This record gives sequence, structure tokens and C-alpha cells, in this order.
Amino acid sequence: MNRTMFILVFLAGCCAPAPSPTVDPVPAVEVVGPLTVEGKSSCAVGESIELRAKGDATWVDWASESPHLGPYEAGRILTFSSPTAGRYVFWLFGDVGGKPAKVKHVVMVGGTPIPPPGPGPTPPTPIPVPPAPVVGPLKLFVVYESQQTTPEFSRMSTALRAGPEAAYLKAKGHSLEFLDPDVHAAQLAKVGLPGKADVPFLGIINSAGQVVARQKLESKPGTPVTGASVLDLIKKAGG
Amino acid sequence: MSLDFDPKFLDVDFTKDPRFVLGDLTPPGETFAGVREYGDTFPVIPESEWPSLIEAQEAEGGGAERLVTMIFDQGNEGSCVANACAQAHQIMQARQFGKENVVKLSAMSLYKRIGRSAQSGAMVSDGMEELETRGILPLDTPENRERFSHVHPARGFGTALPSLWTTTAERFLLFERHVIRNTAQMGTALLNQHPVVVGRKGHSICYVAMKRKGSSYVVPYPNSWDYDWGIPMGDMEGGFGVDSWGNVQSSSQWAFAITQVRDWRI
Repeated sequence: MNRTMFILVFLAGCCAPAPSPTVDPVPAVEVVGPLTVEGKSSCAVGESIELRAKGDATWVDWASESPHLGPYEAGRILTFSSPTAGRYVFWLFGDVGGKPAKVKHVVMVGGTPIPPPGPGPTPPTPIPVPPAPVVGPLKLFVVYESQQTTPEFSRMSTALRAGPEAAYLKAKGHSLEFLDPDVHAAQLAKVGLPGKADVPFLGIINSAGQVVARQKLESKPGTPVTGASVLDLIKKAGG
Repeated sequence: MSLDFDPKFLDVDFTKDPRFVLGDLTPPGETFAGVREYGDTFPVIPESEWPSLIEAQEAEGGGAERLVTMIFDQGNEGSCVANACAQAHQIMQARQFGKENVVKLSAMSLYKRIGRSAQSGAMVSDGMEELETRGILPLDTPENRERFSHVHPARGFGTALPSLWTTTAERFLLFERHVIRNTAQMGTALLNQHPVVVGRKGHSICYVAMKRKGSSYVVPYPNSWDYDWGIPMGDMEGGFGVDSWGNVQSSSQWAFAITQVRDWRI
């Protein structure tokens, strides 16, 4: 694979829509291959930091949505600073032993801007605190077309209503609705789950009213959608 | 997995039970013109697939019998049709909104509109039509009295419906029903866990599931003869009877599957 193709492939991955913050609560590093990034995962607004590529790559390159980048030393070191607080994702990719490798690094920028240098002691840099995950009962919505009911869907719905799965949801205080968009369009729009194109799907709303997951309920050969498999999805979303 | 139960409650001859009151007046050969057939909406499942689907159902804990939240008691009135309709409505409530959100219904509030007297009986198609057009009232319980403007008792043909009752009853409308005309559609509806209101020997009951019994099938139903009749099933301590496939076949000439009810909360 030539370098251009390689970068394009990686950039395609980088440009994919970012997952909801509550689903992906700051995974600072994600490694796929023998590359690593050394550097801070948080800094203040305006603070300049360095991210260093580590590993035996023949070449490396960076990708990020942030425009405030300054790579040098053949891309092995990246300087970064941002005037805006937020979550910045960086991808380092390279070629290690002829094999593609990439690593994800996240920097949280927040806190008080760095004051210009001047006399007197420099106040300590505040450490930005990532938003706390929203806890509390979830609102679960199985959005389905009532006239496309199948035995498999019915078994799943009964399990969630009357099986051990139902007992689990009750114990956790989660609510569960089965809604047909033909009948409940307004209700679905209100909670941010409009549309009927990909029914049936599971929508999960946290106690702050945010959609934290939207998962199509699609069976595959040998792996039907069951009450237990739906419960697994709910647990993975923090339920 | 096969269903084991007291054979006394298999293929019950209702007419020989002291609790029997003639209740289903549906004439033979009724065509139910204008009502959509179940198989026109839901793809009919080939019979060759039934055993594996029943096995999967049992492996996942059972069928819609688990959605039954109460056993009705029609007393000595001929209101079985309304009781079976109300039972089917409550099962769909449990499925759509959760068992904890089921509103117990007054079968008498429906029967009063489709029967001529306490003992007259009624036609299932009339019960379905009334459920679809004007709904049904909640049962008179302390909880329902707090929540709804109008409630009605379970029995007592002579008790008048409260004034302006339709404003509450319409919150419990039947949204979708389909007529079943053969065993293929009946089996499909039961595997889809849709409750099916049938008439048999002058009595109306609500089929809720299909199970294996040896190499054949049986179908359990919650009767409307209180908890001290029948066998336990699901969360109920009693109240269930079971029909063999032979009886189900004769019940499949016509029956009604309830497939969606109105969400009374909105």
C-alpha cells in the first residue's frame, strides 16, 4: 500500500462521525499496531503541548480535526495548542515493518487560559475535569413496526416484559417502551429518536435526556436478537 | 420441552361445567366482511418451522402466557365474549407498555353494549367492533378510581355506565385486529404472541400461546372462571385451560387476533 493510499484509508476512519461523548468517555489512547503516542492527555486553553510518536515506524503522519498543529522532526513530534476548550482527537499513523499501524490520542483542553508571562509566580495549571458520566435510570425505546412482528421479535419483547431481563430493568429503575413510529411519531421526535427507516432499533436515553445509543436490532445467522442480547446492549450503554 | 398439566383441563367441555353460561352467539359461516385477515398483514409461518420456533420460545422462558396479569371472573353472567376481549387487550397492554402499566379493564363495561341481558351472550365480532370504536372502561378498583374519571365493575349487567363514560373508554381503544380464518394463520398469530379471541361450544376464550404436547400442539388460554378453576401458568396461580390441536383447528374457522391497542397514557 503506498503512503497516500494508506493515509487516505486512515483519514476515512478519522473523519467518521465521533461517537456521543457519553458513550465514549475519553478513551485517552487506542492502539492498533506497534505505535504509541507520548504526551499529555489534558491541558489548559492556550497551553502548548508536545505529542511524540514512539515506535519503529519508517514514516509517521498525524491527522486531527484541530487546525492548531505543528509537526516537526519528520512528523515524530507534534506541537498543539488550542484557544478553545474541548475534546481533541489525534490519530498517528505509520508504517511499521511494512505493516500499517495507528494509534488514537485524546487531549482534553479546558480550564483557565494560560496568562501571558509576567512577574510573579505562575498559578498552577488547572487540570480539566472531563464531564462526569450521567448516572441514573435510563429510558429505553424499542422502535418497531407493529405490522412487521415476527416470532423472534415477539420472544424478545416478552422476555423484556416478563423474563429475568424485565426483573433486571425494574431493579435498575429503567423504563422500557415499545413504540411504533406510525402511532408515536411525536413522542419519538420529542426524545430525539425520529425515523422509521431502520426499525426495529433500540434507543437509549440517559437521565439528562441525551441519546446515548441507537442500535439496530438485527439478527444474524446463529445470533438472533433475544431479550438477553438486548439487555447486553443496555448494559454496555451503562444500564 | 413439553407441557405437563392436569388432563382434566384439556379440551374442557364447557357446557358440562356448572360455571358455564352460554355466551358466544357468533353464527356459523360468519364471514366478517371488511376485516383484514391476519395472513394479509403478517407472513404465514410454514408449519415445518413451528417446532423449532416453539423450542426457541420455551428456551427463552415461554410465550405470551407470561403477559397475563389477571384471571377474569364473569360470575354467572353470559359475558365471556367481553371477558376474552378484555383479557386480550390487557395482554397487549402488557406487551406494549409493560406489565406494571397494565390497567385492569371492566369486561362488563363492554358486555353491556353488545349483550341484550345478563344471560343473553354476545357475538365476538360485536365485542371487537365496540372495542375498536368506543373502547372499554377501567375496572372499578381503588387505584383506577384515583387515575380515571370513569370506572365500572367487572359484573352486574344492571349497573348503568357512568355519564360521559366514552371520554375515558376511548383511551382504551383497540387499534389493530385481524380475523383468522385457518390453522396456518392461527399458528402464526400464536407464534407471534398475539392474543387470539375465539369462540368454542358457546363459550369465548383467549388463546395466548402454542406449546408442544408429545408430537402435537396444545394451546393454553386464561379462562374467565376465576383463579380456582384450571391450572397455573405464567404468573397466575390458576385459571388456565388447554385446548388440543383438534379443538384449535375448529376454533380457527374464525377468530380475532389483537395486534395493537391504544397507549392510554398519551
